[in-house]
Amino acid sequence: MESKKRLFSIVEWFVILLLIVFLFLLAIKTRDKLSAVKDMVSMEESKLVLYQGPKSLRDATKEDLKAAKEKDRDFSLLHCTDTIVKVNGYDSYVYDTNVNHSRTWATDYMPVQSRTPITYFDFQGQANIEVTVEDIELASVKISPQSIELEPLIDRDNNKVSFTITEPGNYTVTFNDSPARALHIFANPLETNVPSPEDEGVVFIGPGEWNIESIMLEDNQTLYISGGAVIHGVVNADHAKNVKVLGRGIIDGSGYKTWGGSSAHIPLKFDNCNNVELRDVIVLNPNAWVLNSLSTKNEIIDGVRIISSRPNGDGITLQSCENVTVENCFVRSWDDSLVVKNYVGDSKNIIFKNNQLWTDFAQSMEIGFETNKGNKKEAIISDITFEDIIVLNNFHKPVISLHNGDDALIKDIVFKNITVENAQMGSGDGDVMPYLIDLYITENPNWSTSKDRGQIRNVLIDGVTVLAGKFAPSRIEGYDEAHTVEDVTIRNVEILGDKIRSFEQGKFQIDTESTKNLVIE
Amino acid sequence: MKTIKKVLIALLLVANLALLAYYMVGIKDAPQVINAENVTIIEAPDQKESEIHPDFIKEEFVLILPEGENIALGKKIKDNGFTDVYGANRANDGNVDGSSYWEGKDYPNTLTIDLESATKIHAIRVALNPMSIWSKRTQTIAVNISLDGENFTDLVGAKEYTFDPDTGNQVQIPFDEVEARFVQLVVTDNSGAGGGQIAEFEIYSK
Repeated sequence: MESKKRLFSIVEWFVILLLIVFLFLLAIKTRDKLSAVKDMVSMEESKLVLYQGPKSLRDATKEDLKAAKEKDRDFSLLHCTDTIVKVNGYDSYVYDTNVNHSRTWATDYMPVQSRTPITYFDFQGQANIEVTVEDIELASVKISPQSIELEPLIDRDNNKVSFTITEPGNYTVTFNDSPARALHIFANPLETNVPSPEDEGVVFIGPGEWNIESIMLEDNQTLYISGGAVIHGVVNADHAKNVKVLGRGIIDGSGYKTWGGSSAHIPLKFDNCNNVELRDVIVLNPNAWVLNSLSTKNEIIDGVRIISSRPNGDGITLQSCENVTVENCFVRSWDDSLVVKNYVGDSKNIIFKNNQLWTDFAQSMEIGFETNKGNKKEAIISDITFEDIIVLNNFHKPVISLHNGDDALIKDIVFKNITVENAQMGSGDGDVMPYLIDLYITENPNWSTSKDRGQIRNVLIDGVTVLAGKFAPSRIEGYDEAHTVEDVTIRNVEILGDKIRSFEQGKFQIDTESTKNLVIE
Repeated sequence: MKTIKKVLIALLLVANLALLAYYMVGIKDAPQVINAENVTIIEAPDQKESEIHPDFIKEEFVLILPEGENIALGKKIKDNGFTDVYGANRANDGNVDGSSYWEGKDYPNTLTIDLESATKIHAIRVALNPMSIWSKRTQTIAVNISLDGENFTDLVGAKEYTFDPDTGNQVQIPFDEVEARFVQLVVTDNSGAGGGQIAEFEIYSK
């Protein structure tokens, strides 16, 4: 009887112990589940704004997608039909715009051009994106910027890719490691501070396809191009102050023929202005260069998206400007993506920060070649910073370049945290300058103006990572013993997984007679 | 002790069951479908082709030239300096397009036409390219005349004129008929550029 009692007591204690252990384990599981749910982005808080495209845009046909010279096909902005994009289950309108995969200069201004899809929307919270590309058999899919480490789900049977984003930004989907038909997604944050059409000084353009020919902004005027709008024309200002261009719409230049060396229609051109703000707008199909400021001071260029395909299609060019910030922009260009030059005066205090570039032709980040086109005495380009720049593709000439083609002093230049996802320098006729970094003083038959040559001083290149592509060489070369590149520090360079600790390892070509005090760490 | 054990077992059982129930049905996944109320679709207007935006439709401007004939066309013209390539002879070549305009250098800018002989004149027209890319601007202009090209007298004092592409981007300066051989414009300000700009300088004689 006693032993039975003891046994019963043991069983009771065992049950208590078991219940405690079970409760403990259950508590851990509950905590983990609560934590997982907490980490889930709730669609309850998500918001989405989609913009129908103009109903007047024609559907792109298979014929439209064939690579051809501009003169041999319809160059218009079209409605894309081979790439379907859904965001949180809703269709996002896809445009088909022109891009250029050729890597050789076309002396007749008629390079063969291709097309690529783009789409845009505004969101908050979470956006589940589903892309269907009916004509592409999916072997691999890359989503840039790669630093965000988005893992796409690939449904090969249905040619479908899906992924989720939680941060607004510019995303590019590359199929099968080819630039062909790469999809650009401009995922904006929700729009705030939208001006009213009734506000004084506001030119308000709503959704739809509109011809405006040109608008010359006057003092204190704002042009607002709403999402869903496509305007054909140019937006310029000269000697104006306090001018703004805002909105999520598109400025399209496909109606103009290629400039052909004589007739450039610059979509965003601001000469001799003070206090300029350019935000968010998308610029497609310019007939030459795209966003150009000349002798303008105090300018903010934020979130502007540019795709150019025709000759001399430089993305953002700042000529003799002061106090300019260029941030959160996306530039895909068929000529230099970001450029600083001296035309009539000096350039100083310019920062390019957190921009994405895809440079189909020429250089990604260029200072030069024109450093004193106005033949000014003691011309200077100083305090220019490129920081947190992601270069998705660089196909032709250098990624980082100081090309002093005149007699200016280029000084106090910083390149910091530059990532190159695909380095293909030297493609086509880019083989004349197939460099990753190029610091060079020269006299150029096309671009030099001054008789004398210049100097390059105090350059810091801190953090350059090449993720894939070629291990391209770099060059540091002055003009002669009197025109030199001096005080250059290069550190934290990693090319294709190798940390570069010497100029030799980094394949630097250095002219010792025209350079001084070069350090690599 | 016996009772305590039983109570303890009962309490533990209840706690386990409660937590299990909470674990099984109490914790819900965050919703993964967007609430339709949180989706905004901005609709496009019905359009079959690209249209001129209503704000950019302009009333047609009908240019009425001063009476008589422009006698400045192709005559000898000189300035006291010009910017870049925009020299004086671009200002009386009968062409207002593209780069065919004069731009002065340092104020005051002067632009003088020699009519070759003393001629009766009654109006001047100063024109810029009428395309809208030439934004609206003001220029301050005075008119002087001379018979010998050295001694100039005031004809019309310095005044601010508005050049507006919507109204032809031109100004007309009429005055009582006067005899002159040399007609000079003096530009002292331009709100749209660093120097005076004139695509065509016309002088009218009946």
